[in-house]
Amino acid sequence: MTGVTGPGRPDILVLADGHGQHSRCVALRPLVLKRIGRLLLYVVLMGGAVVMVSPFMWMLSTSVTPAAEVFAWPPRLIPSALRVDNYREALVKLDFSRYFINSLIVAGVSTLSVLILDSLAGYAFARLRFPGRGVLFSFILGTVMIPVQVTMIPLFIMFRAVPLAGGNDLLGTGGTGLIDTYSALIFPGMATTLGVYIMREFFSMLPPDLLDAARIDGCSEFQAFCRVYLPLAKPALATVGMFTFTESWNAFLWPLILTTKPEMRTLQLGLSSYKDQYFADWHLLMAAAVITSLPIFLIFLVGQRQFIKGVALSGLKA
Amino acid sequence: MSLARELRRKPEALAGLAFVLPMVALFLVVRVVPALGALYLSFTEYSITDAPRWVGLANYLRLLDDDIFRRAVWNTVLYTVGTVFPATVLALVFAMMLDQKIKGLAVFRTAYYIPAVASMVTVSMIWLYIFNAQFGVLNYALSLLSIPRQGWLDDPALALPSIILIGIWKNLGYNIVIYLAGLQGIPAHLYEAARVDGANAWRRFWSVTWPLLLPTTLLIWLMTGIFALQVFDQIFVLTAGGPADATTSVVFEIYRNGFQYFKMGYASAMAFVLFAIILTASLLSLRLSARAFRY
Repeated sequence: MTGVTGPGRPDILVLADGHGQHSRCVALRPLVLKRIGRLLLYVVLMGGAVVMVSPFMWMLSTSVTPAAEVFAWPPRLIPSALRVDNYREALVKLDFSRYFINSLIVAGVSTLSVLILDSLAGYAFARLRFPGRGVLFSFILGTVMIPVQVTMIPLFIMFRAVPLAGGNDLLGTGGTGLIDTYSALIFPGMATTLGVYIMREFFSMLPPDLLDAARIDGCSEFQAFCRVYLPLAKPALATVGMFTFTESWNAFLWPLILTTKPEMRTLQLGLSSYKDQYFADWHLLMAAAVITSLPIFLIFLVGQRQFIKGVALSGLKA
Repeated sequence: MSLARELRRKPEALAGLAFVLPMVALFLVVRVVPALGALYLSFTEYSITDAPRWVGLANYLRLLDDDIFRRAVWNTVLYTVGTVFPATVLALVFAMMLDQKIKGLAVFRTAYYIPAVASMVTVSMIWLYIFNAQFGVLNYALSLLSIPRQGWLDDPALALPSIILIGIWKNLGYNIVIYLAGLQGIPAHLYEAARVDGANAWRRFWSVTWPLLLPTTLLIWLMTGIFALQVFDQIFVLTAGGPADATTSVVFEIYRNGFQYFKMGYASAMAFVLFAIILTASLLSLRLSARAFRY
């Protein structure tokens, strides 16, 4: 082998042997190959993107399809007429406006509570010295090991037996307790391990001198947290907020167990429960599916930088 | 002097405890106490109407002979292995393609990540429509290739693979994001050194990329594996465990026994079997990653 054609470039070697115009071929062929390679790369990436997104395109197109065309063969991606009325029917006839409000209350209050409790705890674990700090933090992290499926049966029994709630007597019997209430839907998700972890990481990166300065200025511990550190933590709060809201909004198993009355259903529950009832009405079901996923998609699209950075940094599944 | 410092530090200690107290109390009530309760229930027979009756190990022994539960464990393992590994390989391929100077990286990343943020229920509803045996678009695509219609979710042989397909599709975006972060952490000079040593692309992958990404890979296996072992939503929506228990999972059996048959003691025993499976899988993967980090 000659000095010019390194072992990493065998294509050049072959060409240089076969043709007289060394310099042109050496310069041109890799360039063309590279162009073809790049083109292929984009084609594969586009193909992948289409596969990933196309189910949502189907959802969107079916949601505005007239009822008669839902079973069309061949299936048509673009309906003959735009029927936006599907959405009105889904909201009114299928009662999805009620489910939407339920989901909003449950996810909204959960997120608010997580932001408060997780930032307080994350701040204390990162910045304050107090007895039992290490043990308590290990305890918080350790509870992740317990799957929700282990705790859900006793939790259901506990909520059902809350005294004086839902027609219960003092001993917690006779009624339904907190079953079918917002409180029970919200309570188990009022703080998250992931949130504490992210907040603690974030607060540890902030300079400790701020706290000393605040103390010298006469701030109480709580004021130092509220006025000095919390305003600096907006990016972390945004990440935790988006993760929590998404998870709470998408939750299915806990609301499924905890609600019996149709009017207490969340969106996810409403969607799955209408599957059998409105089996033929795919145009309505898909409109309902769009309504169900819209807030999450909006949050993701608006905050995706923060969102994806959060996923990549924590390595944790939102 | 030291007393003064102690006094100055006292508000800090008090505040620290006060700040973590709400969360610790909450976790005790919603995680620790219920977990202990479930352990107790797993040794009892409890139908919610009568008081729990102690039966010792009877629930666990019965699980050993329960054909449906065995089927559920097998399906859960198949689902986990069937989603986690293909989704890892595919994600690595796409992440490596995205890790070059690509125009529109953000657009691609968004497109790939969208299935991961949508709820499992929404996604299942959409796939229910796509998989429909009579008029679904997937069977239409097959008909163009002169392949007969398939009962994607009605055929016992196809139902679980169909659900696995959705699982791969949904996990891909998350894996890609994690892999992209991992790839960006590999110093460029290592590739240059390998190139100088004459390593071709294939060799560079196996001697630089793959070993350096091993911790990332194990993290993905851990996270998506734990998630997959808890598979429930899509099974509830798509097949309800059918046809003929072909798609039932451990969590689906916990739900069915606990909240449809009201055998809460028996369901709790199942939950502890799941706990044991998840714990074993996690420890195994943590063990592996401890080894991988030695690189």
